[in-house]
Amino acid sequence: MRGILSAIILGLEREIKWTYPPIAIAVGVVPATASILTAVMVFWIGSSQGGSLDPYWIAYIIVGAALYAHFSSYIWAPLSAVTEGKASYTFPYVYIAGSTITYIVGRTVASFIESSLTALASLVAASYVVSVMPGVDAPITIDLLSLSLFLLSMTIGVVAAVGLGLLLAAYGIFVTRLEWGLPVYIAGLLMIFTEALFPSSSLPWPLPLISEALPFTHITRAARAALIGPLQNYPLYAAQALITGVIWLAAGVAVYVLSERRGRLKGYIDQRVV
Amino acid sequence: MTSMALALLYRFAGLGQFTGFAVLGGGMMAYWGNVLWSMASQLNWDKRSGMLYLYIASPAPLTSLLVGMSLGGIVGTLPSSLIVLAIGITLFNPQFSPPSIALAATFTLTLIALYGMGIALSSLYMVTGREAEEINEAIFEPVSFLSGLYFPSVGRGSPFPFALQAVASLIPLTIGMDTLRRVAIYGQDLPDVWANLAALSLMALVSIIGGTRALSYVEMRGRRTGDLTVRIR
Repeated sequence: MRGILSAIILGLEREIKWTYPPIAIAVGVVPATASILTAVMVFWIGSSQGGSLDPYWIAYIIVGAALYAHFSSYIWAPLSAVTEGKASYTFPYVYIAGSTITYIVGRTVASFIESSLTALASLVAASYVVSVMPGVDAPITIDLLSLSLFLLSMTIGVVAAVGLGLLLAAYGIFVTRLEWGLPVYIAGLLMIFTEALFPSSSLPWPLPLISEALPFTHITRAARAALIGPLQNYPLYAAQALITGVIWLAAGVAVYVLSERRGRLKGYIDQRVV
Repeated sequence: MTSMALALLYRFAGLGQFTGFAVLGGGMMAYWGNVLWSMASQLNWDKRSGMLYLYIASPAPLTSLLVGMSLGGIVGTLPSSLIVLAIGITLFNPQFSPPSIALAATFTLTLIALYGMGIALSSLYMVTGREAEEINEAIFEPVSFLSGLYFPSVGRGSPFPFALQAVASLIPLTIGMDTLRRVAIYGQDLPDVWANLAALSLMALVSIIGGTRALSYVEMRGRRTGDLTVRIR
């Protein structure tokens, strides 16, 4: 536990102490808000020119895009912990010091904390901008219960994110350059398959099956149930998110442990990456 | 992937014919990403990895190096841009006008203005430390949003109020994307978009002159103060 706490503190230093922390958070909110607004504008232009604009879908996109921005920013953390560590030659020391999984989990949690703050702020900021600029009042409920459930769904997301993060970190052990490529593609795939912007049912069959296997889809549904409704769907979506997340976590841990063992045998752990 | 997702969103919103906006934006997004993450950041990364002093010591001026990197970036990004366009056209079949001189001129001038902006940013990033990456993160999405990479942000069909359109018009990518849409999607030609091309030419000139001057200033200042190649700040 002390190891995880140390890694969380280290991760927070990495995430928000490159400048005055409130500025670091604010700087994170701006791109996340812009990313949400881009999706909203695309939908708004498409549907208003088509003659039918339903504010429900604007709310649907705001919540989904905010969560997507949240996931896509912190699934980088585990891979970055490994590849940056290899570049700066700190990863071999972490390996010698004890469990690298502890370090990676701590860094992911730190990134989650930072990203949760920016996700919440960008959700509020985007809702406000949308109410002013296209002038659409998105039916998003912001009260204690809905926000608590929204935060709970994001917290459940940590399980899945650590799982996916460990898979990426396993890849990071072996990769020597262009390590950013894979997370970029995975983040893009998440945008399409996790119902961030549109329901998976609008994808041709059998692609919706991929969506059902992703914990992020259920987390997004749970978050929407909390903020848009209906609230009675929340427990089901949250349970589905937790179950699929645990499966991903188990797969991530297994793949990472095997990769780390193979990396040690092949000499990748202390290979300098420039 | 973002362009595919937004093309699907256009289709979901009921206007399949607008998927061309997202596909075209995806093609240009590759260049905008290259300008920020490769051009603008390159000297900063070289400084952090200890390579910058070799550039400073070499007889070639930094500006020549950056102009060379710009050309390399344009050529190197072309395949990924073409792949995005090819996949988008195959999947969504948007209706594009046939290639024309206006399209070639718009594309070329947009890239010159963008890479000139990259040179200007590289001089800014050279005096920063790790903040450069955070600044990149902070400006990538907002500029993509304001410049209307995936939807018309200025002129016909823009959801923005006039004041915001005026601000967005100061970004070369905005004028470039607007002109590309008008030429490639609405089938306009040189007589229709000459004003945009003139604005792009002016922006290209200003960004290149401003960028090279800023870089020379930062380089000379760094030589005097001796902190240009300091790796940890």
